[in-house]
Amino acid sequence: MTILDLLSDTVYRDQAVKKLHPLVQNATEFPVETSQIHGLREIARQQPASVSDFATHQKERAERKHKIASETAQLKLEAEIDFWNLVENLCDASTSDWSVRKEGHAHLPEELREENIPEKRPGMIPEEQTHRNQLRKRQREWLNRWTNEHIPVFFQRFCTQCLYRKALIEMHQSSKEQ
Amino acid sequence: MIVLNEKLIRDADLYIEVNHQTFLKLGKRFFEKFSYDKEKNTIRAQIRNLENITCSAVRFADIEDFVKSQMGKERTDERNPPKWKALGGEVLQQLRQLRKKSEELDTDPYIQMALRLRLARGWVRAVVSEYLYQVARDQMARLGEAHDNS
Repeated sequence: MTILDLLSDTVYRDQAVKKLHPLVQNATEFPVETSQIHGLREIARQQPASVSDFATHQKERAERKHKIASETAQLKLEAEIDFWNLVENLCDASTSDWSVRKEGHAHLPEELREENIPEKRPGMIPEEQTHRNQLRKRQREWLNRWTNEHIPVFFQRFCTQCLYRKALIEMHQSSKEQ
Repeated sequence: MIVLNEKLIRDADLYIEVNHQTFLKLGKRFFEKFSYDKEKNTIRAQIRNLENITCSAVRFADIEDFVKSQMGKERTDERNPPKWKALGGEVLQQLRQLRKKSEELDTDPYIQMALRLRLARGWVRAVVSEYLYQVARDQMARLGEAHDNS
C-alpha cells in the first residue's frame, strides 16, 4: 500500500465529500450536467495538469451565459459558477484550506520543504543563488509529479461523489413530486 | 504489504460474527430488490460485481464508490423500480460502520486500511451468501410448485 492508496482511501474521499456538501446540501438541482461530470473525470484522468484550466473555461462560459440569462436561469448558472470555482480550488487553492497541491506540500521531502529553501536576499553569493534556484526547481518538479499522479485519483472520488449526490437530489425531488 | 497481527484478525472476525444477523438482513433485502433471472436461473451480475470488487479492492473507498456509482447510474421508472437507489443508503451505512470499526481497532492508518478490507470481505461474504440462499430457496419453491402442477 502506497501513500496514494492511503490518501485515496481517507483524505481524498473525505475531502470530496466535505467540499461538495455545502454546494449541494439545499439544492433542488445539481449544479452541472452528468456529461460535464464525466468530462471532468476524463480530463482529470488523461490530462491532470489541465483540470484547473478546464474548470476556468467552464466557469467563464457560465459567466458569459449569466450576463444574458433570465432571472431563473441566472440562479442555476450561479450554482454552476460556484461548482467550477470549487474545482479550480481543489486543484490548487490559494484561498481555501485544502487542495491536491497543498496536500503535496505537506508530503514534500525534507530538503524541499519551504522552511529549508533559503529565502532570496540581497547580497547572496552566486553559489547560494544557484543552490536556492536548484532547490526551487526540484520542489516545483516534485509538486508537478505529485499533482499529475494525484489529480486523477482525487477527481475519481470527487466525480463519483458528484454523481451520487446528483442521484440523491433527483430521488428527493421525485419523492416530493409524488 | 501489511500483515495484521492475530489479535487484530480475531477482533475483526469477531465484529463480523457479532453483526452477522444485520448483514444477513441486508442480503435478504438484496434478494427482495434484485431477485434473480428466473428464466435463465442466474443471479444478478451486479451482486457478483459487488462481491468481486469487495474481494479485489486495494482501497476500501473503491467499494463505497462502486455503490455510489451504481446509485448514480441507475435509471428508474414504473417498469424498473429502484434497486441500488433503494438499498444504497443502507449499504453505505454498513460500510461506514466497518470504517469506524477499523479506526477503533488500531491507530496506524495503514493497519486501518488493511483492517477495513478484511472487514469488508467478511461483510460481503455474509451479504452475498444470504442473497444466494434466498435465491436457492425460491428456486426450490418454484420447482416444488412445478411438480405439484404436473
